Amino acid sequence: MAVYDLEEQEQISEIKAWWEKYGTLVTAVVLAVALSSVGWQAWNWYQRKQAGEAAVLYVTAVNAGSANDPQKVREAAGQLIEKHSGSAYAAMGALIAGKVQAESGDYKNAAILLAWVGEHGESPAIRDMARLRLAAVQLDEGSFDSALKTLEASPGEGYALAFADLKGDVLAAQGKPVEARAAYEAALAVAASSSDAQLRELLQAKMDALGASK
Amino acid sequence: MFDAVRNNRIVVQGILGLIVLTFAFFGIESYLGKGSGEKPLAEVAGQPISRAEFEQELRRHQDRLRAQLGAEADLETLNSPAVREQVLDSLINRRLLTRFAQDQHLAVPDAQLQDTIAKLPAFQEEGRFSKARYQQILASQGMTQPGFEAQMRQDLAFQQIIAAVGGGAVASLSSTSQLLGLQLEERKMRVSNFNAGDYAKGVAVSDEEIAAYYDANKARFEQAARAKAEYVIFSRDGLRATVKPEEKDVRQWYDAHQGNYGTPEERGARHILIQVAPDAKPEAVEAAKAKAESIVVQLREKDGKNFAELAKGESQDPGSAANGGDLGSFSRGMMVKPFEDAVFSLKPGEISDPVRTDFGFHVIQTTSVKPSSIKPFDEVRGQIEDELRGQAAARKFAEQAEAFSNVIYEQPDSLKPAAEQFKLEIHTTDWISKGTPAPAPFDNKRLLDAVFSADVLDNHHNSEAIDLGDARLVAARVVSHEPAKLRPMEDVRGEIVATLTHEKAAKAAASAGEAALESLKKGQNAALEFSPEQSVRRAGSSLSASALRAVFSVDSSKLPAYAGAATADGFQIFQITEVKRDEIKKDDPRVVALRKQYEQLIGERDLAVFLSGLRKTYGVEINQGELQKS
Repeated sequence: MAVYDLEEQEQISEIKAWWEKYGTLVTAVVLAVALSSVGWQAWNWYQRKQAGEAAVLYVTAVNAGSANDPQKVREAAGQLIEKHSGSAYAAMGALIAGKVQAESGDYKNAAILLAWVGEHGESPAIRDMARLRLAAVQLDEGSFDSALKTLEASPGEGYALAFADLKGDVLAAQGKPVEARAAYEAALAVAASSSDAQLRELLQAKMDALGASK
Repeated sequence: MFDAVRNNRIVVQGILGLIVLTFAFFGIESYLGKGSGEKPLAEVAGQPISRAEFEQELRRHQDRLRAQLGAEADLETLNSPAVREQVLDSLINRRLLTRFAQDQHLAVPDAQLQDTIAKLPAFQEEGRFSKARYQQILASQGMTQPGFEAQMRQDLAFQQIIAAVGGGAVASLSSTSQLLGLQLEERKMRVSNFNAGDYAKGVAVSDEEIAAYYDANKARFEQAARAKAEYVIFSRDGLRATVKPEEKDVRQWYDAHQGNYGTPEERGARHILIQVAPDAKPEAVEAAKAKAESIVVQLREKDGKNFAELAKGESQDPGSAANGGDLGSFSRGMMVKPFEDAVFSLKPGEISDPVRTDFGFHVIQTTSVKPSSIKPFDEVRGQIEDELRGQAAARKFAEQAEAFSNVIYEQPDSLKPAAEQFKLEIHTTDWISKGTPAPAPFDNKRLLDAVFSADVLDNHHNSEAIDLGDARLVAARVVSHEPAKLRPMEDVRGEIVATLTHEKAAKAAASAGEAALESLKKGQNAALEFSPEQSVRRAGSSLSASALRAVFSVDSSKLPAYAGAATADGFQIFQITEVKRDEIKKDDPRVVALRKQYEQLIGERDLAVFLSGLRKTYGVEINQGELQKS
């Protein structure tokens, strides 16, 4: 027993000496870890709260869209862009609102919303999607040149065909059959690698129709 | 032991530290998951999709397919590489969407979750959400409430993404009306045919050409392996003749199931109750009885006309006293026995003596009699015998099915033992082969596969007993068979000559047609016979795709215009006489309707592009070898 007592005494004094030397440092480190953990939790909590608010606005927009209430959709989407522009909900809300405005004939507001997504959407696919929708809205608005400009920058691979196809539609509506034909031909070249025979037939039909009206 | 720890403190501390570190960085899964040595089927953003998860989803998908396809669903289609790929794809897509939702902090508001669940018809009772029903259904599906709600939350988060990406698709009205214009454009035209038949005269086919065709098209002259088989069917329906239900069983069934053969006698009655407990003292019973008897006397004096009035005043049955003691009408078995006996023995209008039951003394009057409409025994006896025979046959089938299968298996060199033991007829077939429709029961794929399996075809064994469904078992054996072979040239020479003659004649017809088309286009007269005029549209026409293209792509600025297209049988020339193109307004209701369809297509495409973008962002690796290994 006595042997151990001696050993323990020795250990205790060792620990004391160690604590004298490093005590402040250890306390500081523990404190820093604790604080940053609290900070991290708080940041998470704040983000969740923000996301929760954005989600409520977004759901409001979606529901108002199904209920065919363009104004309410626009308001919700506007708030999302204003207060939660960093959240994916801003772009998602603008996409919904863009469609609803376009459907109700308010091309101007639809174009503003979709152009915002075309610029601020978080992924290339979303930005291309928004630009394509924007061009469709501009075509219906009669702003052919803006539509062509929107379609100018080449999209990612998933949208090459759709862009060329819509370009053809714009040019055809503008009364430029030769250019439209060239656009459809470009679309057809992309479609050649696609297995969708119906799509190819459709493009072919559009081209044929142009040829006939020469 | 502790000394060892004490002496090697540093080492032990080191080991403990390492263990703690692995938990910190890899979690407990790295201990539990390893060891099975199983490779995941795919990895999405570094997270594995396990075989168990895949198999579960595959089973669910197969159940859905089976419900859709019914009898056509065989194991091969249900488990085809394409189906497996599709299932894995949908699992991957779910993972991608989940990950995207997490990264973007998508959230489902509690109110939306509650609202969605409350609106699911499965959880509603009389049009309103029922908490009890909700919990009951979840329990019956083996789900917990938090588990189900988490699942719903995930689905709703997916729907948020899909609403924006897929549901937000915009189709231009201008494009849509262009599309509708294409669909509605109508061209009137007449057809002139150049048929191979008219050019067959003078076409010669040489022996060399025949030989060359035979050599080049051997696959066409392959004859599949074929066999003649004999088979026995052991079935419930076949067993019907071997069972005969006994008279007493038929009678018993009739008595027990009278409701099936009409409605039994019903009687209406009213009563006046003087309550007395079953264990009441004799004085109390006497008093009650005396009271009841005095009521009987009062009633009989007036022929029961005062029944309702007395019931209101005297009856101690709270349920009926107010309506004059009326109990409505009922059949036997619905009232206590002594009461029922009284009602069914009285004549209508007659007043009973007091009847004692557990409730007390009843004074009863039968008010109406609706006689039984049950068909007499002799009339339904055949029907019952049929029913019982079916039941007995089904029982016998269930009892003997295994014995039948065993005899087929244990005596594999003949169907006779089974035929004799179970009194079955041995049928024989004509030639049957795989890949050509065979008469029943060989239209069953499993049976056909069994007949052409090595054991049956080459070893001349019985097939196993195969379940055809509807309580039928079949076993077959091969009587004679011919392996697959190439039919010799002499046998097929005629076919080849016909084919080559047609090919050459069609070519001649096509060049004649093309020449005629050229001269028509130059404005010369080609003296052709044209069909009566017909009008065609791009969609829903009986013309072939190449003919349609010819008709619709031809320049219509000068009419009549001419176009031509080769067909399998020669050539067709089209004379287009009129082009009708409607001016389509953007607010045409047909445009609006078509736009909906168009937007749906665009939305599907947008979703697919979005998902393939997520695939690139997060990284998806598919382990093809593991996927197709079942």
